[in-house]
Amino acid sequence: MITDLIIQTLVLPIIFSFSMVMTIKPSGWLRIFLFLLFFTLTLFWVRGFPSLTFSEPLDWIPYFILVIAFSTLNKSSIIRIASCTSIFFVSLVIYSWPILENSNALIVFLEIGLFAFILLSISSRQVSLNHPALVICITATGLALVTLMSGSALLAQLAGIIAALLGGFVLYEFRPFKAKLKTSPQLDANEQLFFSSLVLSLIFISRIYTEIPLLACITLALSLLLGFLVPLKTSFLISLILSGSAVIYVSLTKIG
Amino acid sequence: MKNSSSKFLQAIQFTVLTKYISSQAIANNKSLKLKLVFTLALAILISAVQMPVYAANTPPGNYKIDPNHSSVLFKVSHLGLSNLLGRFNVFSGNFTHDATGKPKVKFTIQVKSVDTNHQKRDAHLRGPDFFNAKIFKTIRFESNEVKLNQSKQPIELRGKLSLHGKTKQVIFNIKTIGAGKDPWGGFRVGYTANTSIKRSDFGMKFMPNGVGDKIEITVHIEAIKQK
Repeated sequence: MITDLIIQTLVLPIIFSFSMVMTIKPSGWLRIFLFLLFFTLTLFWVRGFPSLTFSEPLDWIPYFILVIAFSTLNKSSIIRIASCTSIFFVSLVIYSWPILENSNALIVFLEIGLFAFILLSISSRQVSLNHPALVICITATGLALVTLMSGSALLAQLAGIIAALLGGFVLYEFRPFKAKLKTSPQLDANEQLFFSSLVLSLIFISRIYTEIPLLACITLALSLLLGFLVPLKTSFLISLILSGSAVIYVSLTKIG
Repeated sequence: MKNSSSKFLQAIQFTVLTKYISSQAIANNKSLKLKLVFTLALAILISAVQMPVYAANTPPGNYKIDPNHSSVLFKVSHLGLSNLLGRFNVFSGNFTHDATGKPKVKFTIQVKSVDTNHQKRDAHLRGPDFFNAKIFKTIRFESNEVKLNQSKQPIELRGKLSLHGKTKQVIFNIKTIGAGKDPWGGFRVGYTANTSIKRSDFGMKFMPNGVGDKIEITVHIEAIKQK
């Protein structure tokens, strides 16, 4: 069981993304769709084939991410940003739909608006020079730990798979060996948008269905946002501090 | 008929017992012992009257499940090494015996009430990995067929079980425990029902190696006839 878990969550995603970085150029659609395909197949492996009744948020997630991936291909940056954000907004509404009747709809919509605004802010920035893969990897790792402590090993595993996929980039970027790069290891703008929307979707789903404290969710989302927006080479340290804070906060509230 | 004859027998037993005790007490002239034995005889009589008498045929009518004297239990394998027991604490239901003696059963369980004697595991079970109780709040069973034995007791109950957004046909094996009047003038009936399901049939496929696929369900029911 532990071997399966390590293979699914760590080994395969890192090998896959590392080989992607080595062989396929970042600009273009191919890498995004291969990442999407890998994530979707791993999701089916971990969770089983999704229900065609689409009654749970995780039944929807591959399809929405596919639509978001398509929308990132638009050449016009304004259309790309607008379509991505609006599709993301609609996806969050659908994820939260089953619980809206028993929740304060206004608060849920405010949270959706906040997450959509964060994605909009990330997508407005074209290409980050501040280790974007590391920033998303740190946030996804923080999310994996937070969801694990909040009672969902499944969401933790999915966040772990995303972190490991970005781990392939990080491994290449901070490699100990000095091979000459044929392609840039950096995530391009579309890939940043793709992975950011995936991580933000999982943070939102975890918030709604495993009742992660709002403060921890906002801290994780800010870890992603500030990691991109702060114009420092060491902005990933901000992500590390914020994600670490979210993990400590949840461990104090859930475990303590 | 069976009830009235058993009461007549109890009355005879009581008369014989008290006469015997009285004669013994006079002979021994021990009034304290007499009081003690009288009290004992009275206690036996009261308990005999209160004990529901098994009735071959449950009278037709509507029955409401008494949650205070019923339980919903499940058993599942953990790591293939041992079995874990759990229960649902909040449920409700009713059934109707029609003229043919075939009960129509409706039963609803609140998923949030899952209890495995471990708070964190219960939170995990309620979450998106398993029951996803925020979306699928209840487990429902509605019978559509019942098989009776020669003495018209139900032995098999077929019906639709709705769990985790999926509905499947399941078969419960039924054992009638007893039926009869309670001390408060009502009529009660008790059953035990067993079945087993595969959780993967209901879309709960996560952690197949850690948590067994087969779930054994046992329901102990005590129901009160509605007036």
